[in-house]
Amino acid sequence: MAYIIHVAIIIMFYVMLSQSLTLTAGYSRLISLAHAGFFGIGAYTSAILSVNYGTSFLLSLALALIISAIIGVFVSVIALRSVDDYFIIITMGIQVIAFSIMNNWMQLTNGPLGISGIPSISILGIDLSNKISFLLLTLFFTLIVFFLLRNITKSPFCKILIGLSEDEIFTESLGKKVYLSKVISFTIGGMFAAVPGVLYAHYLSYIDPSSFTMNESIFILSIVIIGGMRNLLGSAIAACLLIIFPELLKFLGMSFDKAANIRQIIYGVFLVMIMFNNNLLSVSKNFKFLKIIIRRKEIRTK
Amino acid sequence: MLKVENISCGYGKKQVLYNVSVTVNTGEIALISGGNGSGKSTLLKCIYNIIPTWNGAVFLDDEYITGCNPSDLIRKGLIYIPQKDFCFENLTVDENLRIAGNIYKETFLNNRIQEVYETTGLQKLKKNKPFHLSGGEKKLLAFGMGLLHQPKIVLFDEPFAGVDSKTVEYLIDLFLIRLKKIKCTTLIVEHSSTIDNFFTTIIQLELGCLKNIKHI
Amino acid sequence: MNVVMTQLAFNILITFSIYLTISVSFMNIYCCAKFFNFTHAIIITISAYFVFTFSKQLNFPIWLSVLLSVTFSIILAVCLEQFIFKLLRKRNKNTFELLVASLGLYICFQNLISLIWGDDTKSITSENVNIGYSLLGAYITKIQVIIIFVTIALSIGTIILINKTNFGRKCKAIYSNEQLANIFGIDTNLIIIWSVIIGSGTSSIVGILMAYDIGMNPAFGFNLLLYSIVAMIIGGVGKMKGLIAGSLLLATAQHLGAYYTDSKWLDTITYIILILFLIWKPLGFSGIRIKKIEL
Repeated sequence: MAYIIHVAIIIMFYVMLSQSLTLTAGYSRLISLAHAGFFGIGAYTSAILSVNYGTSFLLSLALALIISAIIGVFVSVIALRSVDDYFIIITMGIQVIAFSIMNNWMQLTNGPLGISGIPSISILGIDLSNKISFLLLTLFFTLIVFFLLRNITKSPFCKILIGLSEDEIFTESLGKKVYLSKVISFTIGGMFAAVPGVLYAHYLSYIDPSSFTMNESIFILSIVIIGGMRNLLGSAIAACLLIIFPELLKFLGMSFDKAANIRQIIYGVFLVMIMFNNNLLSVSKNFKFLKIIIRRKEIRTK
Repeated sequence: MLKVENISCGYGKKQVLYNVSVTVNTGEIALISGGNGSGKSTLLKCIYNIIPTWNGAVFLDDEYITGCNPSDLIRKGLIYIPQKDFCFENLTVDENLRIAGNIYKETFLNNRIQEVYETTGLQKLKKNKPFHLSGGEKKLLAFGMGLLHQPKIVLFDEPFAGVDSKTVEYLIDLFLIRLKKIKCTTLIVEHSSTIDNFFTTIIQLELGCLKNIKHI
Repeated sequence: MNVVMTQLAFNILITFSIYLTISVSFMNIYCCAKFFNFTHAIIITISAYFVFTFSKQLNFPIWLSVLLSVTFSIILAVCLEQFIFKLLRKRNKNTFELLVASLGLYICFQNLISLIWGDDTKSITSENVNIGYSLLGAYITKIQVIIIFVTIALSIGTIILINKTNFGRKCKAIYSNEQLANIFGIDTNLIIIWSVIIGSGTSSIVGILMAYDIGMNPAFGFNLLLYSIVAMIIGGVGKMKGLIAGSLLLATAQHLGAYYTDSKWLDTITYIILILFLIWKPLGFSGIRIKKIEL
């Protein structure tokens, strides 16, 4: 039972991560491989603050959001100096730099040894250390992130993002501020990625740089792609799928390291497969298909 | 003789040509006219297999050539000269001509290129890239690249787009009159009316359908 | 001080020649196939592991191991191109989707390598670490000398191939205007396959040599490729001379940076240089706008 709760919590982390990247990479087509970096920024900010200065959860969450916002603006301003294909390379570079700082700046982050002893969360005096309450807390944040993102994606701002991802010059000619919109969407994506970071740090009470590697970024991007790029629910479903599926393999008695490799092979295969057929996992497309079938049946019965 | 039978094609899901059938006899100089979006360029591209046809067939001297690959089409005497992007911007004039004739053996190609230089006078520019050429000189290059093959049928896609009338006259003198003399079948998609008295046949397309063929 | 400078110079020369070779082969494929193909990293890595298997586990002689390894690597690269990328291209997939597919394939293969051979750093030779020859006061090992000569020969060979031969002209033509190249009878697919053969042959040799020098782990090809891409971007895509400048700059900066700070900051230095370059000179050394959409 505890295991299932653990898997559920992990899934929710990835749902938040992938949905935040859906805004940046899906809607604005700013394909970023720096997302694990923002995840890490959230985790490390909260860890450092709570271990060294004893800040409360809400305060460290707020500070993590602010710091990731600043870094998000900084990164996007730099990365947007390049053209299409090269944007992704720049974000790769940012990811590598972020990892490097986490791994090498001993004074700040303790390097590869990581930070341990991160206290469990207590909000307004209520202690939330047991698994079920953590699950509910994570669920709460997941829903908030989802609803906020959903409202953003339905807003006029998002229409600008879609416009500029299709035809930048045209959107600019309509008077919409293309550059500013890109910066904002990237930053918001990064901020929302810091949220699960903070939760992750307090959940495991120990973090080290190995959770925030390039491979992690690629994994998060894969979830977004498999989920259908501009599809929040699709990302959520893809996250569930890509986490549960390999976990099942553990029940086949595979050793831990091998399971990690096989998990990655599976999602690599998924990634390639989805390139051949975009609509494998799209909820809305499947939904529409069902609607068409239902309507046809209705017409026939009439 | 070029025969097009019931060609339908389009881009992606959008259909542009609807069952177009046209016959152009050897030596004719045909103008393909029509409004924007009537499918003129598409027709040429279909004949040359740049866009796959959805159905229908293309015959060259009663030989089925639909879906043939370009090197075979060139060997059969067909060539297409596009409307824009008609030369390689990162290659010199000489290299452009060599690429245009890449299916030939080198010695043979050298002779052909020499002939093109003599006709067009581009010899002095041979080490320049198209960036350094004027619009008219680029057109000379484009025509040179096409006519290098000494084709039997030439498909011109808006050859005089964006060219001033004096250069148009020059180009007509240099190429089209020559083609007419050797009885080369020519299909020209064009808007401008400067060369109206030049054609033997006028093919009118409207919204992807054949409206009219007029033989003069 | 002089000895240190000489040693640095040697190290820079070795790194420069490696980056140059990889970036030349990568750029050739990129110009023909029009997308960043991360499976190139697999070829570098797996060729080293093939040699390991053939020479250490099957005890073949070295020359045979290398030959077989390069052959198999080329076959793998061509198969990936024919059976995956060609099919994706037929469905009119844009460059992003090809890039993602190549990334997915990379992940599959890297983890396969981890599964089969393990994650640890392996070495091909069983010789003890030797200091090497002494030259002008600094040390250079036999394999490092071989690396310099072979990689520079490969780079020069590829550059001559692209600039002076018919094949190279066709590559440039496809890069410039694919439709026009097709009109004149150039078969894009065939050219891509040949550039893949040449590119993967070259990079598999580099991978094998590097494994001889510093050993191999499942990710070393990817790291090497990323550095070469950085060199390519700094140098400006599309110009061979830019690659020489970019590789030299990157190699120099990396070694100087590692000397003055610490080698653990190598990655950071590399990407900070890339970022600085993009801020200061967004078009790379050559100043040519990377063609995307032209009005």
